Amino acid sequence: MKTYEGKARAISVAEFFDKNKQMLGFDSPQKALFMTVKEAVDNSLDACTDAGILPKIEILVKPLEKEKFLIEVKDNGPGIPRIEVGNSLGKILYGSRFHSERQTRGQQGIGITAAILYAQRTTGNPVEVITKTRKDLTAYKIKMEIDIKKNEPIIISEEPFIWDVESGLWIKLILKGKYVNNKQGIEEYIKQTAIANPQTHFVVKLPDKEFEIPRSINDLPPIPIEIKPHPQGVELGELISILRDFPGSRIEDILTDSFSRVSPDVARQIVQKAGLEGKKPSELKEKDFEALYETIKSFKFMDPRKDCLSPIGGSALYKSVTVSFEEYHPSYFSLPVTKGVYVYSGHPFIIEAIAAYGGNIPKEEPIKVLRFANRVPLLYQQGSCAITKAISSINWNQYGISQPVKDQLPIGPVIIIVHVASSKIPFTNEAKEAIAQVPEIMDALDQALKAIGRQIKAMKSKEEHKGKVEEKFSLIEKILPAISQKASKILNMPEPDIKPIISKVMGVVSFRQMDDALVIDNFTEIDQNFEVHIIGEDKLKFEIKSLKPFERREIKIGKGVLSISEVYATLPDSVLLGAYPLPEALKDE
Amino acid sequence: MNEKLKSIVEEIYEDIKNGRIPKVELKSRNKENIVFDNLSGVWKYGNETVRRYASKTSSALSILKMLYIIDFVDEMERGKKTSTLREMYYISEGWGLGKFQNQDESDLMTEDLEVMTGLLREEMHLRPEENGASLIGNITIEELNRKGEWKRINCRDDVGDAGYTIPSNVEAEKLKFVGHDVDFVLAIETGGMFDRLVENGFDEKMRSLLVHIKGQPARSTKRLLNRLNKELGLPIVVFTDGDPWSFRIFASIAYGAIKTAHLSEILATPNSSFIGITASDILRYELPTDKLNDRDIDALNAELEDPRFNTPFWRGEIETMLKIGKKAEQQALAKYGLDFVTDTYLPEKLAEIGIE
Repeated sequence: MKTYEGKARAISVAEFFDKNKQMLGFDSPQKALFMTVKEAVDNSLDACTDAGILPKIEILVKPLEKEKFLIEVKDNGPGIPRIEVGNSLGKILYGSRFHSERQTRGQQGIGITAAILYAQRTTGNPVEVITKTRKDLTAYKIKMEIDIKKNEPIIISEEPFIWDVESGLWIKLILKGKYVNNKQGIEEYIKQTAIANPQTHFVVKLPDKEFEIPRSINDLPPIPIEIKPHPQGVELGELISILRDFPGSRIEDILTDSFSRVSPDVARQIVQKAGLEGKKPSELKEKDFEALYETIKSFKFMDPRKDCLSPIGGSALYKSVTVSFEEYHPSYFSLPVTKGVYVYSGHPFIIEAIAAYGGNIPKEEPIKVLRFANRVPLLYQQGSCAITKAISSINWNQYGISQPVKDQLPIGPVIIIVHVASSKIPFTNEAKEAIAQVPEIMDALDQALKAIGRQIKAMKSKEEHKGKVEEKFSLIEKILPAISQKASKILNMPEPDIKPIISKVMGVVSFRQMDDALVIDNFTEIDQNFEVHIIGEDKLKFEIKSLKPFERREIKIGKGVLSISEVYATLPDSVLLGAYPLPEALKDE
Repeated sequence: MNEKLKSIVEEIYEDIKNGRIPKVELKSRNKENIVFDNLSGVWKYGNETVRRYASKTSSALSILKMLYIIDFVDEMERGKKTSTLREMYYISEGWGLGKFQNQDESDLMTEDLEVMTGLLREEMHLRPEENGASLIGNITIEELNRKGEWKRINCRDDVGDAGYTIPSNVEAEKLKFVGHDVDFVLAIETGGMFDRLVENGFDEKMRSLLVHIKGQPARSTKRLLNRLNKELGLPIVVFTDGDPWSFRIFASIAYGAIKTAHLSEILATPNSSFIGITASDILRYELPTDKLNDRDIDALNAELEDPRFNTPFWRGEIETMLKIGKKAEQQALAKYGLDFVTDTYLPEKLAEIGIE
């Protein structure tokens, strides 16, 4: 839904949303509970990022009588100045975000207010807000309601409150809801939020469990810079409103002031092209607005600035994913992939992706997809989301992952995480649960996912090698010694040396990954000379000279690099274990 | 320690000591290597052998497991104990890498050892679960009981209505024939029919030894039939249901089975006769029937390819059964009353094969 503040004043937006709860995701008691926690946490994370504070967020969901729940979200953010609490939280569409272009979670300032409204309508309880800013000596406790007809906050009480923190915001709501802990529940939401926001420390008390997620990095993400909207993203209605707000100004000046990448010279060219030279907005007719709009759409502007985005960052994503997926003991993690900055309709965006493979991740189920938009996990409407569509439209069979049905999620022990960061995420609806299939975004997703696919293919072949290698080593390290031992014991004879039969049984040069090293053992009966090529993101080459029987060499190389690279050696396939023979095509490189 | 078992271990030990990959060698137990020996009239293994080398993980594991069995057998031998195959399977829980995945695996490996050494599993102190096959009739035997005494039993006068239970070891070292006054042995598939013949006094009336073989007979039952035939010269007459599966019971008694091809000479009794129920009986006595299902039809067609059934009698019966599409149970004879089987059917059929 496209809404513009200037137009929305005619009817009460609060009233409108009160009647259309499903648009905001409050369509069932179960989801209401989830949305309330989500909106409050999103707000806290935005506030902390803006204020340059490493977030600590405490969440309480406590069942009360008669399907009522108490929800508390307490953060260490900057707090809200006492006099602004009413307008910040109690008025829908308040705030300056409609005009600004930068990456934030709560893009339209509706969410938490909708939660307050929902609580008010289902239990009659007002919201209780405790706020403390650095400037204030004391915290304040404010009880507040929303006047639905007027779209105005009503402050019921306001009193100083003792809260011994430097700053922070603490929101308490009582609402009707239903607590169900499933994969679209509050727990999953918090865990995924921690993946996309590794700088955050969570302390969580839910009706059925308590847990804490410490921060996995201690660096604050850079504060996204606020830029003016790019002209290519403007809608006709918005353009008309902007111009009408300044009826007596020059059109050129309005354009230069309102948009980025519009210099006075560019503005002059546009007005000229539209044939509106010397006209004031008050003199413009319908067809004039349309001419101006069409000119802007077809004009070649510079791309928007890109520093208004806040990607998670490759190393932070890698670190947070390795910590978060510990329960699955994945065999391998891909390297993070970043695509962008690209632009759609004047809005810059970046795609980040990473994957985990193997271990205890279920093998017979569709792959697990974690979707994020501006660091917010998307748990609902997976099927209609651009990320899911982009994954399904790739032919995974070519990457060694089984995809029995075309255009469906493939089956295999894989978790893929995809983050779309943009100054404006094109959601499919106001509940912000799925990303729309914008062609530019689909293309970028396709590129990122194919890069992930190539890495998964390497990880899978690694895993297969590993199985064969493990079987062989179990043969020589466990079974053969046991046979020798048992036979000797039965005959009451001394145990023979089994080394000679080990090299006969193996007859190979074996390659094994042990922590951060590639371990090479010569189990053949002759000296071996060969080259090792480790090919992944980089191409590495090592020369191994006169490796004697039963001798071992180690190549030290990062664990991450090894797990997504394939190992080749200039030896015939028949004497290779855990590596491929070097194909002709790669020999000259 | 048993020399035959010991030599298997010695070969493995010598291989390792001399830097050769250890192996075991045995007659191939593939279906392709089982031939019907026309001379003796039973199934036997051919000449194809297989070697299992420890360079393959699965073969190495099977060599290790075999060593554990040999050690276990030796231990039982020294302790004068026996164990059931099932007990050995459970005992293997403590054998680490030598642990069996299921009892089929340990049973099969026991058979492998029989094939390799020519020893019977009973000689390796291993025995199957009792399957309780039983017999009734005027024969006197002696059985070595658990106290080490030879216990004399007349299988008509010293037993109840359920008869004498056949032990798992029926070799001469355990069971001796003392005397008898019967003309033939009637091997009966089902318990209901066995009980009917006992109640009707068929054993005395027709001077016969009635053996309840309990479906597909256990090894010991087949071995006992073989001894009764070979040592006492008693004809073996097999009386089963009239369906393809019962035909196979007869074939296994007469000619041996694929799984025990290495033991056919002591388990199979090639001159056994099949008395019924035949497809011709179904027509001749107008017996109540069931329709053949798809599996029955497949089995009958397979039997047409089976050399054991390659006689004019069997081909005729199998083709007739396929043609009428029907099968009948032994107890279908009750259509004409409880005494029909003993007063009419069996005397008529026995007369046809020269027993009166």
